[in-house]
Amino acid sequence: MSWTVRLPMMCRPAFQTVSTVQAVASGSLSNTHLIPPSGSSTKPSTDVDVLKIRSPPERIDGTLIHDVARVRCCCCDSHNVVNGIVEVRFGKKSPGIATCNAETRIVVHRHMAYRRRTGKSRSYVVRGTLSQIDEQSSAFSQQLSDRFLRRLQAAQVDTGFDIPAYEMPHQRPGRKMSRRARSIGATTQTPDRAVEYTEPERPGGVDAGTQTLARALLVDSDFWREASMHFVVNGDELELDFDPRTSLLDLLRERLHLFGSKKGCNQGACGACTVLVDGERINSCVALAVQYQDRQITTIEGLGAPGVLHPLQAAFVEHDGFQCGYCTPGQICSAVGMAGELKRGVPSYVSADVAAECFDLTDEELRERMSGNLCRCGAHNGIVDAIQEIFGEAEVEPGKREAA
Amino acid sequence: MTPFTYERAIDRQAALALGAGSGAKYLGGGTNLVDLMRETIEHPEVLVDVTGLSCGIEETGDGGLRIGAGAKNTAVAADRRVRERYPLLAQAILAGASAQIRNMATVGGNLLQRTRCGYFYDDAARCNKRETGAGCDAIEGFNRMHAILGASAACVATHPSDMAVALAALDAVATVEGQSGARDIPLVEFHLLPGETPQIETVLKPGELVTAVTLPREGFAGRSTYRKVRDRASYAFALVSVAAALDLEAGTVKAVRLALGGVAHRPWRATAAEDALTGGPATEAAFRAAAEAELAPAQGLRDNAFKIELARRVITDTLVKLAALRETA
Repeated sequence: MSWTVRLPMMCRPAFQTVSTVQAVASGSLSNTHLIPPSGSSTKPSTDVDVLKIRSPPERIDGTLIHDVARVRCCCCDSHNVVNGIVEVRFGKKSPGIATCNAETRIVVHRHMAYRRRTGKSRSYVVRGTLSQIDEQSSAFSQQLSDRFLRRLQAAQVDTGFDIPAYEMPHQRPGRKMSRRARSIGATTQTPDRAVEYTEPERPGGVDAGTQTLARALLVDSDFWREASMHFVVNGDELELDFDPRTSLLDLLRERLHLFGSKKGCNQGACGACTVLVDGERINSCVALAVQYQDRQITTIEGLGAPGVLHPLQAAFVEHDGFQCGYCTPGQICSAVGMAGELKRGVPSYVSADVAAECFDLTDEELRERMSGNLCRCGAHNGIVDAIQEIFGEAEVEPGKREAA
Repeated sequence: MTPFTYERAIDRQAALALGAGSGAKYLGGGTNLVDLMRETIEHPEVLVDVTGLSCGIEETGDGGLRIGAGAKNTAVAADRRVRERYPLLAQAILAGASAQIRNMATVGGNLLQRTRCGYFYDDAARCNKRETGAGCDAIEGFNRMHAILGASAACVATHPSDMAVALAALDAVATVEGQSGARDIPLVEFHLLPGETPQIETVLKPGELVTAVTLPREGFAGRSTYRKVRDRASYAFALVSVAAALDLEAGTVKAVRLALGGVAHRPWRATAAEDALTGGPATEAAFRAAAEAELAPAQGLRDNAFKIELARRVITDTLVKLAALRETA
C-alpha cells in the first residue's frame, strides 16, 4: 500500500494537521489532494511531497546503523534509498534508539537552485512535523542542507555524485534569509517559483554514494543534534533528546524541572502524576514520553501560577481541598480533564443511562469520575466542593461541609 | 527497565513487519506494558508503537460495529453508537480502571493486558507464568483475587479486563493480522485457560497484531447490564463481575447472554447457565438454578471460596433486576 499526499505548504491550524495525519495513518487517505480550510493563511504555496518512512535497524556496508529511517518514495514506491535522497537518522545518536512518530513525515524539498544550475535532480530530506514544516521548513531545510554540504566537503567523502560548492544562504537565489544572514547585511531575494519535479535514476539497491554518505553522517554527531524529538509543554516548543525508557513524568520533572506533577505510586494507581495531553487527562507515570511527541502537554504549571491562579486552584484554597498538597496538582489537572469529558458527553459507570445526551455532575458522578485520584489526607470533601463550585451546576458554599 | 528500541509504525504493514522481528512487542497505551517493563517482567527488545493505527469505529454493513484495536477505551465508551446499541460494552469499559487510564488504553491492549496476580508481579515469588516450571506461590498464598473456575495446578490467576467480559457476552469477534494474513477469532476463544502452559494466554501467534473487534448486530440494548463487585466503590479490579443480557418473550427467556469477570484466566462465558435458562421461565428460581449450574465446577482456594457464592448471588440478582426492567428498546 502506498500513498501520496500533496500538501500545499501553508500555515495550517494545528487541528487540521493532526486530522490529516490521522487520516493518513489510518489509511483512509490515498492519492488525495488536500485542500486547506478556507480562511487559512494565503501565503504563496510550494508543493512538497510527504513520504512514508520506515525505521528498521539496518546494516549498511557492514556498519550497523540502528536508527536509519528508510525512505519510501512516494513516486516509485521504492523502499530503496534512491539517488539524491539520503537516509535520515532520527532522534538519538546512541544505538538502539530510533524515534519517529505518526506525525513525523519526511518532506522532500526540491533543490531548485541546484537543479537550475546542474540540470540534475537532487532532494534533501528534512525531519519535522507537518505543522513545524509549514512554519519552518524552508529555513530548516536550508540549515540542514547547508550543514550537510559542509560536512561532506569537510569529510572529503566520495559520494558518487557532485557536491556543489558551499555557499552562504544569503548568496543563494530564492532562499529565505536566516536571521544570521540578515545580521551580516544580506539583502532580500525573490522567492523561487515551483518547478516540476522529474524522477531521478533509481538504482536497485543502496548505492555506493549513499553508503559513504551514511558513514560520513554516522561519525558526525553534531549534524543530528537538531533532529531530536519535539514536545509542546505548557505552550513551549521544546526539542529534546532522551532515552526512550523515560516516562513522561520523569521527562517533565527531571528534565524540564516542572515539579508540579508528582510521582506517587509510579504505576498508574494514584493519579498524582495526572497531566493533560490535548486536553485529555492521562497518568504521565506509565506513559512513555516518546509516545507524546508533538502533543499539547499541560501540567499544573500551565494551568495557573501564583498570582494568576486557575479558578479551580483558587477554589481548592477556598474549600480546603488539600492537606499535604501532594495529590493536588494531579487532582486539579484531572478535574480540568473531567470537565472536558463532561462537555463531550462521556458517560461514567454510575450514569443511570449511558446513552444520555449529557450528564449532570452530581456528587456521585464526581466521585466516580475522580476515582483515579487518591488523597491520603482524606481531603475528599473539600476537593468535591471545590470541583463542584467551578464545574458543577449546584452552588456550593465555602465551609458547607466539614473536611473529613 | 531493559533498554529497547522504540519504533513508531506508520501503517499496519510496517507494524506487522516490525512486529515479526524477534523480541518485538506491540505498544498501545502502555498502561500495563510499561508497568511490566519497569518491573522487568516484560523485556522486549523492540517496542512497536501501534497507537494511531486502526482507531476508527465504523459500521459493518450488516448492522454490526467494527471497533479499531487502536481506539482508546474512552473513545469507545463515549461513542454514541456504542452507548445506544451496546450499552453493556460502554458500562463494562467505564467500570474498568480510571478515567486517566481509559484515556490512554487501547482496545487491543485491553484484551492483551496481563493478570494482576501479586505473585506474577513479585519476582521473589514463584510464578509459572513468569518462569515456566517455577511453581505457583498463589495457590497456597494470598489468593483472594484469584480464579474459582478453569484454574489449573500451574496457575490460578484471573484475567483483569472488564471490557473483554462484555465482548465475550456480546459474541464479539477479534480480527488479528500477521504477515501470513488476517483471521477472525471469536472473543470467547481468544483467551486461553492456564492448563500446563499459563504463560500462553491467548491464541495469538508471534507477531500477530489485533486490528479490530467486531460486534454483531444484536446488542441487547433493551435489557443488559454490567455489574462489578469489588473491594471499593471504584477503581479496583473485580472480585466478581457479571455481563448479562436478556431477551424476554411473555415471561420466557428467548435469549440470554452471561459472562463473568474476575473468576477465571479468561473472560468466562457462562454457557451452562445460558443453556439452563434459554427457553425457560424468567424467574428468580430459574436464575438461581442457572447460577448454581454454572458454578457447579467452581473450586475455591483459601481466601477466595467466598467468590463462588458471591458469583451465584450476583448472577441471580443481576438477572432478576434485568427481567424486572420495562423494555426500552
